[in-house]
Amino acid sequence: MAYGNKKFRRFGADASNVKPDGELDYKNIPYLTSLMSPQFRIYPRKRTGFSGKDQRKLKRAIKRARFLALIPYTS
Amino acid sequence: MNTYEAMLLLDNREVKKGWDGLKEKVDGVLKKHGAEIIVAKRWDERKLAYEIKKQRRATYYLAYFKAPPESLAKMNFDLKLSEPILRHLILRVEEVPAEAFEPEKEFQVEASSDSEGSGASKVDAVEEAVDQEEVVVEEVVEAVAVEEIVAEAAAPLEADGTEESSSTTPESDEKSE
Repeated sequence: MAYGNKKFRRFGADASNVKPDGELDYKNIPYLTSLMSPQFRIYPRKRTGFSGKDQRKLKRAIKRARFLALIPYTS
Repeated sequence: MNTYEAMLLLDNREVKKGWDGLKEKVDGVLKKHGAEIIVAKRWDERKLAYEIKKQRRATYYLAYFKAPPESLAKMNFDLKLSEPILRHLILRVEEVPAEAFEPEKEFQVEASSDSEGSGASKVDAVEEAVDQEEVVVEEVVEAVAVEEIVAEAAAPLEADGTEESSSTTPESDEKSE
């Protein structure tokens, strides 16, 4: 996964350099939804370009937001 | 003593009866279990992504407090039993973020907030329309993101035509609204 898919890579050659543009917090709804498909599926690491650590943070934040009805589970 | 962040979803029907009384009641539940409230304010009044206890809208209440860790289990239990609280989430935080101390915004609790059964067809139609609007906006966001990526990949030959057409139509929709 280290090299990712060329089509989706966000910056430069090294996918591991990609950092989140915002806080991965359940209250940051616009940013979280920008990392989800229109059907509210979480984008994979390939698409977000995040490190494993950041992707887990994203997962946690989205699942919390879903629990509090800030983001739908699906549409 | 740890610092915690609690997000509570409050029933709008209770909020309409009087905010101060409800705030006291909710804070009381926290304080009962030894919580020292640092800041607590209304975070938002918004439409829920899905119905909770037959409610389509709710008031979000965000509280930061210090409490002994042992008290959390009982506090959770009490919050669950508490009628005006639709749902709650308590998380441990290292420190209280600065924006938590900003003054509370004004919120208007909408008249259409409580759903009386399923007979309100007009409300349903309006809300469906709102749902569609949201989806359109997100599609625009996604289309833009894809375009950026395509531009970076420097090989947009195939994707270009389809991307442009998909991005122009939602935009024009948005303007007309």
